[in-house]
Amino acid sequence: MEAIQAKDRVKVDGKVSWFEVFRRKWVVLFGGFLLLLTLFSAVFAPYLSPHDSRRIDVSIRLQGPTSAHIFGTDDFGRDVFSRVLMGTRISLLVGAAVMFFTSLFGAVLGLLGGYYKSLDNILMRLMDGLMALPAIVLAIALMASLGPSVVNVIISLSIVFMPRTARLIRSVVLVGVEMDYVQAARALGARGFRIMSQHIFPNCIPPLIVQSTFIFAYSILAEASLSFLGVGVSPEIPTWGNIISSGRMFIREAIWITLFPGLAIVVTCLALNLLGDGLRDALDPKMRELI
Amino acid sequence: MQNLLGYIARRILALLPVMGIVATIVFFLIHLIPGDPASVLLGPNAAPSDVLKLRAQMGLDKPLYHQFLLWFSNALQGDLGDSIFLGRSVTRSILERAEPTLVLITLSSIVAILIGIPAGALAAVRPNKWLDKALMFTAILGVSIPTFWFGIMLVDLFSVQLNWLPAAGYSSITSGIWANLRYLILPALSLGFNQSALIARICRSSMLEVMQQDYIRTARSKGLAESLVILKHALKNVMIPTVTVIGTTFAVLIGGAVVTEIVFNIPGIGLLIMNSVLRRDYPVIQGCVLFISVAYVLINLLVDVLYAYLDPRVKY
Repeated sequence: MEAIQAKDRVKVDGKVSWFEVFRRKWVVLFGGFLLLLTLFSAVFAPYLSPHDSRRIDVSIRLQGPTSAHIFGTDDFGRDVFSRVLMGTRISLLVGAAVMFFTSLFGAVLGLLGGYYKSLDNILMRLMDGLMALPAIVLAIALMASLGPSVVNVIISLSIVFMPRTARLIRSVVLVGVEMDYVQAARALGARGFRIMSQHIFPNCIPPLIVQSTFIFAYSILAEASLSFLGVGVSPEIPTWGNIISSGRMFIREAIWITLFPGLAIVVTCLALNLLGDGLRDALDPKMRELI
Repeated sequence: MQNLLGYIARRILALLPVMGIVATIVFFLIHLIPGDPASVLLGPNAAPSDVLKLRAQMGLDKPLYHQFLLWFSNALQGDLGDSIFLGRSVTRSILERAEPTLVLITLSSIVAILIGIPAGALAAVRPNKWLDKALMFTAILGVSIPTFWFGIMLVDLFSVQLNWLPAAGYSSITSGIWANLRYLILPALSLGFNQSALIARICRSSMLEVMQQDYIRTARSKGLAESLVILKHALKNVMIPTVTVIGTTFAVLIGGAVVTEIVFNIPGIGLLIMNSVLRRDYPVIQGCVLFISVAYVLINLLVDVLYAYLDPRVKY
């Protein structure tokens, strides 16, 4: 076990002090800052774009970065910077939506499985079945059947990543059920729903936060891969994966079309992974064994 | 040994329900298609008689439970149906494409291990010092880079700019190892680097744990050089959890290989899946997904058995 220095502990009387988490962990602060920057770009993308991301001008096609087009132009003469900015919206939308649905369904299934032994076997075998398929392969297969669209990407990736969250929550619940205070609540006559929501679920929140941060990052990478492969978001919508996919034909003459959207993915996922990693160590170092 | 065999038998038994569920999921993939699969497959201009024929050929005119049982019993016998497009059985198409994928995954694993274990061990030598922090930051960066994009960047550097290695393609291993390697160095690098991050992190934390054990203190106190302490006493124990991760990595690489094969145009199972997706050749998609998940599950089983064998403390 790693030695956790006293200054890294952020729990005061057993409660998490979020202020302390952000003050003491520079990675959390740095990751959070990068993420806010991405979020800001996504929200204000239309106002920040120097050009219309759809404007075609073949007279300036495949031009390298200049002051007018800081990320250069693509094969249709469209401004790559504006397109990358617009792509931020899709990536964050998909990431946030998948994070929400996996957390919601994962938490519900994990709680039910961990609490009701009769459900546990069926639910967990189902989760095992889903996890026996490599994430990207299952996502490709689902997209092949559902057809390319933003909504279908969100559905597919939620199905793909949800079992991980369900398994994690279940493992926390299994420990929680044995706790004295849960036994005490039960002895006082509390029923399943109350015990789960009031006594067990609060323990699931820190791992859930950490896990969903990572799922956010996985989803952004997975969406980009699916779009790159042509089975994600329809190609006319500028997403990071789509821009890379279209720029790939021109790597000899215009590497910038591929380079910049990729860097956008790296920065966003780095932000999320740093945040998740820092939060995990700050909230509970023992979580490392779970996530 | 008797115990180990019993353990393996029990594990295989436990896998059966999981594989049953996988097969069910794969079976229903084709029923997720909105509308009638046969008419979707043949496109809007297909003659109704052709649609009926394909429906019959795919067994879609039979009741759902009948289709399911038929598909299931055929799959158990290794018969995954026929490709609509390739004019041969799905099993044969998969086996023909297995070599490039297998070689790619193996090479990527080697890259991941060669980068991951030294990086993890080096980071653990002086925990929380700058080298450790730099390496662990690189590890987080490594999992944040999309492999397909990293692959394209490697092509730009080593094929387009430096002209050292081919940008795409494949040469079978039977026609010479070097010819084969030339095509696979870049794909294996792009895929392996990403996975090395995970190995490095596990290797580091496992190393940190081992270094606090009593036998390490004993080895140090008898005056052994630090390098010998690490190489002779620590590394063996560090390897136990690391082997598990390498196994998981191998399994994860199967998924990564699909994407990497597209980037480098390697005619493996990944390219087969993607071409089948574009041609809407659903039997092949189903077959590949099932094949990959069986491989994935078997590798994980192998890793667990290896783990139990390597670590006598594990009770099975």
